[in-house]
Amino acid sequence: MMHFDSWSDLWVMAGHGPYVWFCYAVFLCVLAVMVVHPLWRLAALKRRLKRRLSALESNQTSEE
Amino acid sequence: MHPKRKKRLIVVLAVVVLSSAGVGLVSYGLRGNINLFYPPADVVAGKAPVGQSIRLGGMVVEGSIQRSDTSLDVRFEVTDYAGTVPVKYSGILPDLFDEGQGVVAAGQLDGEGVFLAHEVLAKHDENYMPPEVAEALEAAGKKQ
Amino acid sequence: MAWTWFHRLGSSPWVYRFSGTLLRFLLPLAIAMIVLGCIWGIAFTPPDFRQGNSYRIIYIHVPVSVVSLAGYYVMAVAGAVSLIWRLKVADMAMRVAAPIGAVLTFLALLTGAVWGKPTWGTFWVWDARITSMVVLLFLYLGVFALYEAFDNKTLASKACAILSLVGTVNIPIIYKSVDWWYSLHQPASIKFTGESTIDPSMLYPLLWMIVAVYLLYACLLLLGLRVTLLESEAKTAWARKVVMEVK
Repeated sequence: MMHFDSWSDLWVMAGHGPYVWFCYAVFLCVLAVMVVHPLWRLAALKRRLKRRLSALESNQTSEE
Repeated sequence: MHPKRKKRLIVVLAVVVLSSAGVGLVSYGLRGNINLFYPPADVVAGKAPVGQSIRLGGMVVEGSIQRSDTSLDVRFEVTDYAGTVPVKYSGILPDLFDEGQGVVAAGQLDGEGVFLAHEVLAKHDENYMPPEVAEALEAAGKKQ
Repeated sequence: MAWTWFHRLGSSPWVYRFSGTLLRFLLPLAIAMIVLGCIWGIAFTPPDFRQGNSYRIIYIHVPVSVVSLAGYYVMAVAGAVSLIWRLKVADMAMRVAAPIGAVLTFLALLTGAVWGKPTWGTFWVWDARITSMVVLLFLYLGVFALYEAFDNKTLASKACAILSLVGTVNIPIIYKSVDWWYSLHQPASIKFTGESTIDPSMLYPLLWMIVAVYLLYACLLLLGLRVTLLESEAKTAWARKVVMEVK
């Protein structure tokens, strides 16, 4: 059962809305960044390594 | 275990034990300063400095709050059940400020043992419950 | 026999592959639990009889604080293992744990300050609990900065491990600060011995969120570990194999 009677009640929270919503918003945003950042770094790292690796290989084949 | 690793393990344990002992001694020595406030019993016993900026913490005595009709002036008493100190304050009180509730006031003691506060904060306790449960508890308490 | 798991931890390709498999179900689980926990805490729990709706911040403030303390032990134990056994993965775990712990501690301080305004009447007071949490933030940042300050990374790791071990003394101080000294912060509501002083209808969502944030912490640690592993062993055969699998 939802505690609040209406969406506006949920938003205002009898005056405490700004404090509560601010905390949840910051929490979720910070967590999202913390999850996405290493995933993005890992993908970028793999791409960079792969480029270097294929450049190395094509170099070797052209020398042969 | 390899003797080299054993030696490193002993070093690790020594680091933890020695630093803990050091910090323990320092915080024991500074224990007076780490406390945020003086309890009323210490104030009544004359352990709190007069005329200096300090904090006083305790429970607001039931029925002690006297509000002025014309201004924001308010008087109340703070107790820890071992001593009671009267407090004078002028300003807006926090929402949770109430009789029988915890309070921490910042200000100074005057010569007559009255605490002149310039800031009053509410100190709430560790009990959390829905309003219905609180009402039920109160009703049950009154029946006894 | 009993030591095989420990030796596996010394094998980078095994750690990389195993953490990848673990994350595939752990990360969606952690995210789902956090989203559900937030909805539960915001809308489907009763208000507090004294604090009203502001207490809903508890569902973020407490889990984040608890895990920021536990995360310090993770960092210190990893540091000790890397000092004693020279385990590369432990050293990486210690370095990865520092920024994650710093962010969680910062969130704990921020949500605590925002919660303090409507309940205490102030954002900030230098009481024992809050001050020791600020010390925790500086310890995390110190470990992070110390590693960056050294050019010799073997030396840097040793220095960081010792700093994190010295800092462990702060954790029981934070936990017990509200009992040992007079503070504005109230004592703990969830008790390991004896009955908790929080109603079950509020306790269950809180425990749910604590588990969720612990899970997410594990995910963040593994994610960071994978990046550091691949980065530092880019030239090895297993790293090449991983990279060649990328489309």
